[in-house]
Amino acid sequence: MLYPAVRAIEAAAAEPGARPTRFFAVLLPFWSVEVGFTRAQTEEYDLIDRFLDRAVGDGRIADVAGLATFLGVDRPLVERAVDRLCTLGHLTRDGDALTLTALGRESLNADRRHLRSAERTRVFLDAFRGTPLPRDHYSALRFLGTPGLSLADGTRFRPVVSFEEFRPGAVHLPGVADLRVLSWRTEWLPVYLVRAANGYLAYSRYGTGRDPWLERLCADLPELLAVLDAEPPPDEERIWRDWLDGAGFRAVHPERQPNGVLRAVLPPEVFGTRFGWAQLGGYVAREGCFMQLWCDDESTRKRAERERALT
Amino acid sequence: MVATAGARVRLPGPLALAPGTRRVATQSELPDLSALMRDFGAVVPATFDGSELHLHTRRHRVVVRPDRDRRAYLVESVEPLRLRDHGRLSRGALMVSVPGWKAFPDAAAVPAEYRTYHDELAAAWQRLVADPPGVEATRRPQRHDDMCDVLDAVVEADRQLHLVRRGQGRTGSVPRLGGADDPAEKAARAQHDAVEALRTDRSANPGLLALIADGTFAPVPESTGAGVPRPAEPLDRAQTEAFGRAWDVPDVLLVLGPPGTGKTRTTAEIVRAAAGRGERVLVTGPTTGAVDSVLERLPADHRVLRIGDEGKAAAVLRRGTLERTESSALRLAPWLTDTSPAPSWLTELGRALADGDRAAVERATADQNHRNAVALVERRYTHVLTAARTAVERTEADLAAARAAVDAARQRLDGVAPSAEGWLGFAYRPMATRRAAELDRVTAALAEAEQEATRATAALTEVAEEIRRACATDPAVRDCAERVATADVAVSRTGTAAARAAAALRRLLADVVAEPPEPGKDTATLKRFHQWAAQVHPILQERARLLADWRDRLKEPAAPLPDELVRYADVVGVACAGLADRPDLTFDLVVIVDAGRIPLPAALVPMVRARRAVLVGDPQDLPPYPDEEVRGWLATPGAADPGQGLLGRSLLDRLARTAPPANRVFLDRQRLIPAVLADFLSAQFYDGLLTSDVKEGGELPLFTSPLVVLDTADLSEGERAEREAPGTELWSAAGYTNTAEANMILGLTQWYSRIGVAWTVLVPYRAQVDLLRARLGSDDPMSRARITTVDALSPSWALPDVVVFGFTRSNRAGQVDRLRELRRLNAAISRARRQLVLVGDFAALRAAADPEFRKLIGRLGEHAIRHGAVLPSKALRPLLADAWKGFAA
Repeated sequence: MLYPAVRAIEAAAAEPGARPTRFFAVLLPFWSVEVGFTRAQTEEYDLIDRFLDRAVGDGRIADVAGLATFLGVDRPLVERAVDRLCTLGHLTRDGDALTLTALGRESLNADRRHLRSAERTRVFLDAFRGTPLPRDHYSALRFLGTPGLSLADGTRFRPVVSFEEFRPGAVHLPGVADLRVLSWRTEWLPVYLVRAANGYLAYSRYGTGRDPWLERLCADLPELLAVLDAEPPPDEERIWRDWLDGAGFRAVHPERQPNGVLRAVLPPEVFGTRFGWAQLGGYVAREGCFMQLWCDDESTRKRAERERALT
Repeated sequence: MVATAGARVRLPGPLALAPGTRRVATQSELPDLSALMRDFGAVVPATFDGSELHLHTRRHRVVVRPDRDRRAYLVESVEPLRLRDHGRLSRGALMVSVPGWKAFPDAAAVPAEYRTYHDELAAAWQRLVADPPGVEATRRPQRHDDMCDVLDAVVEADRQLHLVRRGQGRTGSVPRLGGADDPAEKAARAQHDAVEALRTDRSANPGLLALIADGTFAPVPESTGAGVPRPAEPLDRAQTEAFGRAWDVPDVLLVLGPPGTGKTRTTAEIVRAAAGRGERVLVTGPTTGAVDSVLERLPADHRVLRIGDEGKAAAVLRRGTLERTESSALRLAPWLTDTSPAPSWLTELGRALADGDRAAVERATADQNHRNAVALVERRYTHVLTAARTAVERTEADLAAARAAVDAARQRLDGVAPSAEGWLGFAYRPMATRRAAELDRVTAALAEAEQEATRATAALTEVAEEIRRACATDPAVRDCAERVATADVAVSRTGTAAARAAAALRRLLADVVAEPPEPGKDTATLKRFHQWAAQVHPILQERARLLADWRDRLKEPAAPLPDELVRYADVVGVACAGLADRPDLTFDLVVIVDAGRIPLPAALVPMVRARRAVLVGDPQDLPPYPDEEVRGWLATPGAADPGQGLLGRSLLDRLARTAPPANRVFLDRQRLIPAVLADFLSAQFYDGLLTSDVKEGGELPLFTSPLVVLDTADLSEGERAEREAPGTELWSAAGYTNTAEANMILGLTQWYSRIGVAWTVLVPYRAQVDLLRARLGSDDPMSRARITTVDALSPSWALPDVVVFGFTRSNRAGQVDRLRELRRLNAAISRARRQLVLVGDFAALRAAADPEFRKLIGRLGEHAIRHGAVLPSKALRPLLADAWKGFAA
């Protein structure tokens, strides 16, 4: 559903001036609304359908057999084409008699095939303010039906609920007049929120870096920010001590860097063996905080850079 | 609405709040209760934690408990909302509608009518806990979303496998992706689109995702057999069963059939029946060859269309239509333009009728003028005429009087005449004489009067004659008389013109309209005819133009007719890959042939386009990507198994594991390969269900049985051993060659070629293929093509008479690797129309490390001993030598 937290942290650490301190893995609530509407489209006519419309509308030939004879096309083909025109709304049947509809007449006048189709689609709005999800986010994001997600690396996402009611009037689609709300439900979006110097950076499945839309959204939600700010800070000393001890690095003591990042210097030999090359300079994340793995040996660092560039 | 899991509770009365008595150590003092109450929304989420009731505002969690008298809630603490509170709310909360709140300084101040409704709330909470609403029923289960993610990953992995197979990934490095027009790119995009359709509920079969993820098939209705048509070709029992089930099945039917069981025939019948009842059918498969073998069994017209042929079909349609519409175009041609005959005649008719009306009016006027002129002339003679008339009258009157006098006189005379002749005649004679003289006198007067009368009459006649002459010579009267004559001519002329125009028009109309009315000759009917003709005229003009346009467009060879024909065709055939180019096509039924050979993501593309599907194939066929290829790819860096066992497999394979009996039919009668071979395959691969219906007998080349084993175990270990050919297989895996076997095989093929027997050599390794081809000594590409690996064999190639299969592996360690894929052997055995020759070191094979393979070889050996011919390899040479000698003789 979402990449491991360390990827978001690495990206945040690489942001100039960000100085990330901790992160939250949250599930933000969205209203997932199924709407129905009529879509008007226009396309080029094909050949047979244009002439069928004309033959019925202007030539006043009202039955399939007559059309087949007049146009010199065999009857099953005309049947199929007429069926299609009926489905498109250009022709109506009354028993055996065909008539051209207003839509059909419009199409003939414009010499283009006008279509009106009943469509359904799903629209997402954030559950706090009802802000519609931007179009480009739809293909990238994945929503959950239940407020729970745990990743393989142990990250557990915490849901946040909204106190607002769903208002059908808040749903709009550009260029659509007869929008109808058919059903709605709450779905949850996994997001990493990284606390940085001037606000929270947001990371979702959208794109490869920050999600500016989510960041703007969250910045405008005092109730969300208050909840995050109220979380007690993690006991970083204990967390990393435990982790380092568990990995066998009892002698290693993490140090806070000038840019605020906690860094643990590991011996060179562990890279390329126990830890992958990519992890030198990368991060480990636990319980909302993170630590960078480092090595003092320059050749090892250079090797790690090369390996990273190759993949 | 807060949280998905809530239960609504509506309280009948307001709630009272008072500060709690127990001072719990909190982070902050209790805020002003009035301010707190303002923060409560119309609906308050509430949870229980033990006996504590937690009420929530947007920012705070308020812990309350009922006071002793159950009249008010005492506020114990107010905390800012924390993440854990949100978490708890997301899992379930009561939504409490509170009509109002009231704060009191302490519990004692609360009036008696307030209640806490604590019991109701607690009960509602119990109900919620016992039966949480869970995920809304409308939302599909998470595992279906997960399956979509898996499918997306399978699409990507599949693309990599395909690139490797195409030879771009031999060294194991990341293959370069082609551009947007690269067929593999298009295919991958189409496959991702299909997964997206599943994800967003846009698949034509709404239950397809559940079917793939959970194996949930829709219930099949009780088959009454009613309405199922008769197949056009005879079908056996199992084939008829498949045919009938395909008619009824609401979602997916699997038709599982080993080679030779009539899959193509059954498929064609299914397609024909479906098209017959108006369904739009897609026939698709891994190759165009597979699709064609079904399409060519269907009647050839534009209703059965192979994509790629639609241009031809469009050309045929164009020609045919132009021919068929030629005569109607000719008949409508008179209406084509505004200067065409028909409009001209119509206008003419209108004009003639209008002219006629005008002429009639003029005639009436001229008539009137004439009469006036005559009257004018007559007036001059009025006096004379009147005098003459009067004279006539007078004389007539005189005449009448004279006559009357004569009559009277005669009467008087007659009255006395008899008396004058009688007794006293003398007395009457003077009277009689007087009377007779009177009679003479009046008779003379009568004659005069008659003369007078005659003269008067003659005078009158003369006057009349004079008047007449005067009229005739009077210039004014003559002028008017001429005018009348002219007007008469005009009326007659326009009448004729109208009649002529009407007749001409009617002749034209009779060609295009069923029964045009008769124009008649008189104005009234002509006018009615004109009215009718004017009414149909614009429609006919429209039709004429329409038909002309239609024919003109048909003469142009340009689009879009071919695409359109594909949309209207009853049966459309295209290979899976070709469907990527036509995202607009949808169908009622999709039939996938050779479904066992299509990788699952590729099969999704047609499956999401149709409500129902029939998958036809052999479950024991080679999978789309054999295990070695999959494993080889998974070993490369960055490769990951998407999960669910989908990688490299076909959709047929996956569904065959989960389909209930109602959704699967096994075709159990094969008619292609010798029974000896089929019996082995049946026992080994098809649970003994496959039976044979073949004519045995006929001359077999060299050996007496359809199943022949040539065992190289009689050779020394060195002679029969394999040789490794490193890096000759995919993923730089090692291949193997076997010279002893190669020699034997070539000996056989030489003989077969000589006697004209169609042969194919199948071996498991490319290196052995290369070796055999190199030694073939023939430049004939056909012969070279007949030596191939099993994997490279296309199912749509014609079956050879003889298949020679060389096992190739011969080593001490019992390594058989590729041969472990038993379905390869199945594929090889089922390709021999008359005879199968197996060449291998059976001692080593029987001692193979892989237990399944060992078992198969053991059974194969037994079967060969019992029903076939088992020969040591050394026996081959003398056999061949005899055969050649016999040939030469």
